[in-house]
Amino acid sequence: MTDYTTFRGEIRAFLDEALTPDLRRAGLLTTSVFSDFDAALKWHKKLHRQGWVAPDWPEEFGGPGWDIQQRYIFQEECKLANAPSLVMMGIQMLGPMLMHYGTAAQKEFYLPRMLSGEHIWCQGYSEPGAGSDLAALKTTARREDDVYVVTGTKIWTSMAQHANQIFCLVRTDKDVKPQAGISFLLIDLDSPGITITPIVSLDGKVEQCQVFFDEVRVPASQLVSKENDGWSVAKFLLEFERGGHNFTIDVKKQLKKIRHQAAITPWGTGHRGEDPVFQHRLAEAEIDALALEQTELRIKGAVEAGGNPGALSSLVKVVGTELGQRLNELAIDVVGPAAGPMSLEALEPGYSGPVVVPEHALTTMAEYINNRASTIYGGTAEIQRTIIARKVLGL
Amino acid sequence: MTEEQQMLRDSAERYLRDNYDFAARQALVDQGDGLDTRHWQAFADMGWAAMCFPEERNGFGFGLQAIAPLAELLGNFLVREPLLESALLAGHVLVSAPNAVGDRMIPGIMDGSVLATVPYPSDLPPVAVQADNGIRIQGRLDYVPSGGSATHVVTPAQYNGGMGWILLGLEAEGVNRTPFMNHDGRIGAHIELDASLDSEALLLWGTTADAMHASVYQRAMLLAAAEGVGAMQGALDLTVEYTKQRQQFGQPLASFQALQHRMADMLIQTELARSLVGAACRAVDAGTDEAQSLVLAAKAKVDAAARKVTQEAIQMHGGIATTNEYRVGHYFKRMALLESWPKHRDAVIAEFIQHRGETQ
Repeated sequence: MTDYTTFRGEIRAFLDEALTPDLRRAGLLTTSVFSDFDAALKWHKKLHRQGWVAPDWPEEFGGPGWDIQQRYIFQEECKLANAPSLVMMGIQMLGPMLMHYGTAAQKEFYLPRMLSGEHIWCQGYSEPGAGSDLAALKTTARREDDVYVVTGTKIWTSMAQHANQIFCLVRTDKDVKPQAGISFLLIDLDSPGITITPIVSLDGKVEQCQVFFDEVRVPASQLVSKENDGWSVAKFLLEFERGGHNFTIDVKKQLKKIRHQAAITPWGTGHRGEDPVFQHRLAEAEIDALALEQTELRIKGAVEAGGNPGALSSLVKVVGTELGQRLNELAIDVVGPAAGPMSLEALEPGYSGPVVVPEHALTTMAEYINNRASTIYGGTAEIQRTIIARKVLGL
Repeated sequence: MTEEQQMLRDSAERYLRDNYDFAARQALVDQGDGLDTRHWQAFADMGWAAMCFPEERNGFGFGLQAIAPLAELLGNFLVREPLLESALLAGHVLVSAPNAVGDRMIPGIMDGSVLATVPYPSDLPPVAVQADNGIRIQGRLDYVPSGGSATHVVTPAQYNGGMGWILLGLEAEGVNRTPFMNHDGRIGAHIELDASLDSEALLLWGTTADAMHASVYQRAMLLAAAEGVGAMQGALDLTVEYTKQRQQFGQPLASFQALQHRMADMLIQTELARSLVGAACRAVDAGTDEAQSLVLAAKAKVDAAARKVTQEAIQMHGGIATTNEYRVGHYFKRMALLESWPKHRDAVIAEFIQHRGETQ
């Protein structure tokens, strides 16, 4: 039996020392799922040296060999200590999929480079005409001897401006039903014929890109699983995108911050935290957070017992993201006009110039704006509800 | 609306449709410009400021019922230039001020050479005292809307144990402003005050000043609410248009009944809000007892409805709406700022409860 208290103490001791002020600053200034890239990479490398960069991986591939509870504790402690968020497309999404579907050569080449941070991955799924209807994707890969020649475009490619690798769903057969003609390719972003165009988000920052492929030659050895088996590979991977995340930890952190914001924001003759209307609204959110936590614990229990979360991961994605958005609203309700200024420079971790808003309000509006995307990416809230309707309710 | 009022509204719509280009707006925001001087001048030339002033001040003497439709248009076209704020709020104080200062300032507001703004109401307004044949003012104004673009601020101040209204020229010595770009593309400012002003700067005091405070922020609520209705309508129209042409699963998104119902709800909320704004304008114009409750109700309704409607607009668009170059998210951002101006919905509702009690 693992002593979790001791374990938590070890994690804390490590974080106390390893999280330098600049890394914590980057964590604090995170306004989306991504932290400042340089800080994230620095933190990635530190965790790698410690052997903790891939908590969910089995030991044989370089994981720390932690059980689910330990992984949860680690995630929670990192979040509460304001560690930067790691770029998750490699270790959290592609890694587990390659362990399952990859060839020995693919595992041997890619997994260590994912761990070390040498390879930064991005995900090439959506296209301008293929969003919720992902199977409508049109980027094609034509087989010529031992290469695939890829032409088309991918959009909402998070972190493509920093990445050097992309995993893509491509069309390898046009004459079958859409899902059956898709393959999964690993592509080096330095390949000739690739152009990356940044997309400015509503909050003024760049996190997304559009990636264009013009006759890009990809060795056939970069195919994962069999040709035209990409749809099942992608579904396997999407479950990691949706299910691998623990929303309760994020929500608890948001709640903690809102309580702090309310306690220092004047309201009438006192502060906002004393306002019964606000207290009521906050309590409702806290109750929903408790319900979310208990649901995530049920899932964790099921997974520990060897089960599959199945459509419950859709439920948790809907509830987790929508509750997160509600908390963003509560935060702007508390902060008020101080949430107005953009303060883009002040959101850079190294910035030391003048700031026009108080520290507690610096990220509030950017988070509110940016987090609208959370019910769109990784399968929209509508798609998740459709999955629940079909798979759970049998409609 | 009279024929003259209808004509002004229609010409405004024509101008905005033909000239208020969203991409050009964004290019200026990216450059850090708070307003488009070309539009600003055109708005003034079309009489948008003049309509807010009484005829004895050479204005058109329009009531709020005639002004609100224009405010709606401004919300709908995502107009950043605060000409209505300048005329309807700051101008309102100047109309009641001693004639000399009004005569000097009002023509400037009407012709666009003056941009006067009003700050958030504050529990700790600056302190003004009589000193050396003039006024000494000290304190600060935070997050002043369009304060970075304004030439003047008309602000409440603590004066002589009560309230006073003070006119500040933003170029005056001892008036230091820190401008910043807001998420809605307007340039706000913090303004620090340690200045000596002419005695003319004291516009109103005593009970007149108190009444003006209520009246200015009542107008601010109405103006924001009317703009919000226009923003909601804009977000709804774009959503309907987009979901009709966006194909997924081999059919337009708009063919899914689940989405149709949500768009119907957006329309319901927009219309409910529009009804209240209209009623509030009529009540204020008529000076009825229930005017303030209706204004508060309109503002609270618009804040809640616009939040929901603009969020739904983004959600139903999907990824495209999270980009800065697409229009719909800008309605959402504008409303996120407007909902705490001049005060937060929770404070508005608290005041509504109080007023409803008084008038029932």
